[in-house]
Amino acid sequence: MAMFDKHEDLKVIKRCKRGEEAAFAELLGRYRGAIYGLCFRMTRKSEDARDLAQEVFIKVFSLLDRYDETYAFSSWIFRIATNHCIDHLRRNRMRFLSLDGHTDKDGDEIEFQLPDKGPEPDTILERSEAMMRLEEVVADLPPHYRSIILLRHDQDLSYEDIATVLDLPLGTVKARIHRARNMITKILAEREYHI
Amino acid sequence: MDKMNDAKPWTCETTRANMQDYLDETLLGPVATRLFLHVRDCDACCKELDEQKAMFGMLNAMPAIEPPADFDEKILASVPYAAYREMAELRAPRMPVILEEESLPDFVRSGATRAAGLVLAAATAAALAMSRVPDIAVAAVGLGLLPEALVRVQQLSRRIYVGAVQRNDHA
Ligand SMILES: [Zn+2]
Repeated sequence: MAMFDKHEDLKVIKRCKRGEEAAFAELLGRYRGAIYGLCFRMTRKSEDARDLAQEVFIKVFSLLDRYDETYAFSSWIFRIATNHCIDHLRRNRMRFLSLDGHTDKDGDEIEFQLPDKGPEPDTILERSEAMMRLEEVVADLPPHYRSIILLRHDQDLSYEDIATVLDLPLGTVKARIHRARNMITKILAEREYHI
Repeated sequence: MDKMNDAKPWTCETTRANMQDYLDETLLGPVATRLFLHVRDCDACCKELDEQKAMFGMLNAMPAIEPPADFDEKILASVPYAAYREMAELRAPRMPVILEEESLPDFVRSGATRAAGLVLAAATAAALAMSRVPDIAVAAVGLGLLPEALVRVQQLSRRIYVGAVQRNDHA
């Protein structure tokens, strides 16, 4: 969980815009965990997560002049990261054309992704069985639901911030988070996981 | 949520429909109270709320994931630092010409002129004090002080201006 200080961010960004090397390192330090974590939980592959997160920072650091300071920097970088992960998953999925692709009334994909081989060994840290199960279920949500759950619960963004990040109306954000949580409950029950 | 007016009966269904908002703490006070009172007396909804609460708690507590040790290098090596520095120079506000040292003529800025001016001012002032010269000599005091005063006023203004620009930058 993280909290991002908009004003502190702006101060560092002003220094970045003057080309101060230390300022870029500082800005990276503030967001590296959050962005890498988001990319990892979206892809569940440490190599993909590293590449995606590095690409996000490289893009953001080369475009700082175009960042609109009326929005929080955190919203901007989360938007770029979320879109980048979803594009990556979509590109990858094209290779395994799904047999039963359905979309619901919002046009969201509702078929679940095939579970991967499971988390990689280096990511198995000390955590309870219940937590591992929950993380597995979150990882199996369709990408749009997965990202919104991660923004809300892992990154601790408010509904309003998420609406800015995803460029969606507040009502849609709320409905989607509710639906995502209902999916988690349903999958937990189906798999007979008790948390 | 505000559709729930007091007239409508509060059921298990309304409880389930509002449970996530309740846990997100976005329910209006009176609605939250009705939900709370229902849950207190309804075993099924109480169990459901406990389960949801546990799920929310765990989602909020997902462990942080650290990037690999060599994560930063590639990113920091890619930053176009020089381009940012050039852009910053182009963007930097230009100091008003009148505050630049060169805007005062060389002979005014020269040490000799300033020293001579001060000597003239001091001598005339002394003579004035002893009433040895007509009052009109006050003009000579002013004239003597002028070069030094111009240089100092310009220095001070420049310092104030640069300070203001820096404060604005760090705001
Ligand atoms: Zn009930």
